[in-house]
Amino acid sequence: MKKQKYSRVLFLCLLLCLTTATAAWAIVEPPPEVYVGDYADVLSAETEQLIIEENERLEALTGAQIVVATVDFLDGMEIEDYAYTVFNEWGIGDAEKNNGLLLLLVIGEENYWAMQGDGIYRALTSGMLDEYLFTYLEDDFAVGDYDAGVAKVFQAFVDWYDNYYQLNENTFPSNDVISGSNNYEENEDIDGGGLVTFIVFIVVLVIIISIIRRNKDRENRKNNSHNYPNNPNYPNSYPNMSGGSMNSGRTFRPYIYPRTSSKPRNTTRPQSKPASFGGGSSRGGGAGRSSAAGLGRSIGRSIGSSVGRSFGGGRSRGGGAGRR
Amino acid sequence: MKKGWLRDRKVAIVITIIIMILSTGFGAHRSLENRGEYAEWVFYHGSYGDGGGIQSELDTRAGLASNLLIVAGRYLDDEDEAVQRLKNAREALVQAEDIGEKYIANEELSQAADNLAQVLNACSLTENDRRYQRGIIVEMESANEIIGHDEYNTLANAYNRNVLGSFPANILKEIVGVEELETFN
Repeated sequence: MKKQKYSRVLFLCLLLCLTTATAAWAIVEPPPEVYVGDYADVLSAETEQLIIEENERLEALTGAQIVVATVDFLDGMEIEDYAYTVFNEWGIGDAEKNNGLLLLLVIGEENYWAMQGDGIYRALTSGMLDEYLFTYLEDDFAVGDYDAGVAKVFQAFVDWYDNYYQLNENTFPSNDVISGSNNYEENEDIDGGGLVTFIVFIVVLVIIISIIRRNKDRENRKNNSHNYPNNPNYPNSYPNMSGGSMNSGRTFRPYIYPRTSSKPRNTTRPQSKPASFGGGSSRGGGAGRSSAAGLGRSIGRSIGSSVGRSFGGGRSRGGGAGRR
Repeated sequence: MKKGWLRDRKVAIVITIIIMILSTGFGAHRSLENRGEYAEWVFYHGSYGDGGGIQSELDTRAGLASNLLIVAGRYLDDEDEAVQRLKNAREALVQAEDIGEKYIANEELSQAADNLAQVLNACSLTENDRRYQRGIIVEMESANEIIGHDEYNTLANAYNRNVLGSFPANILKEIVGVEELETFN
């Protein structure tokens, strides 16, 4: 019976692993060279070298990365979704500036897509991407000369970056850096309702206690009325140790402790720092958030480090342009 | 007389019960609504607080629709059905107040824009205008794709399921009038 249960559990685990592993196979691993992943084997060594050299220059100056990836098929995924996943899982571009660009060619499906990073999507709009692709890539792609098309469009993208960052003139433009932090400040009174409830509860408690005490006092006074002098039921006085009478004409009343303040205690919570969301996740980019299925998937950074390069951790919010 | 009434134990108990009920209701309402506030904030401000939420993309799409109408105006009458349809769809999106309305208006905007683009394809557009038309459609589709990746729906569903759907919130929400968040779909 136990064996049956155990094997059932094991079977379910294997099934789960298989499901997740299948999903992992759809998204290619980050390429060792970082900047170019020619999984469909359509690019020449010269084009790959051009891509690597220009990227090294760009990244050193601006943190930008223009990654070119070629695959054969998407295993049923939509090309935009695939590009979005690749972009954010690999973490293309600088983590703070989010200025990466992905050019994805899907040879077996005769399709391509370009997606820009979050930090430049207003400067390099999807419409502009579409124009670049149509002008520099489409004609060669349509006749199967993928290498020539990639080389032309890649160079056009490099020229755009050079112009955007004014690299030719050796000046440093003021870029709008999109902060990775979420400016949402949690309302410190987020449990304002709870605080009010607590205060009301304290007030009510104090009222109840005071009513009970008043009633007790009243009862005590009733019961202890015979303690007062001139009362016929004045109790016998007890002799003190020195032989005299303790009372000696003085009245004994219980000591009445001063009442505590009825003001509620200060229950305001100390001001905590505004919550900041996204800092870690945006910096992590694909690497930090590579929680997608993948048995033993290695992360871009760990692979890239062996050749001194790595993805920058940038992110994209999607969109882009392709062969519509 | 008044003093005696306030000192009455029964009156105190009744007052206590009333205050407890009211404060529970008030507190529950505030607390539940506050929990849903972040999801709504993301809709308008984006996950990273950079104004890149769904609302921003909807505004972009409305703007792009205006641009397309300008291009169309050079080739089609103002009374043209396709032109009117896009105008109305754009207006509806701009006027939409709640999230459900925005979604419906956005869907209609997509269809109206595609329809107008098809009509324009049959016209003899200049090279510039053809480039403009294509670019605008690409941008509108791109904005829709960005909307599709936004995490608002995930947050709203999580709030509806995990906060309002669990005990005792699932009972309290009916009493104190807290509604589920609308999702953008």
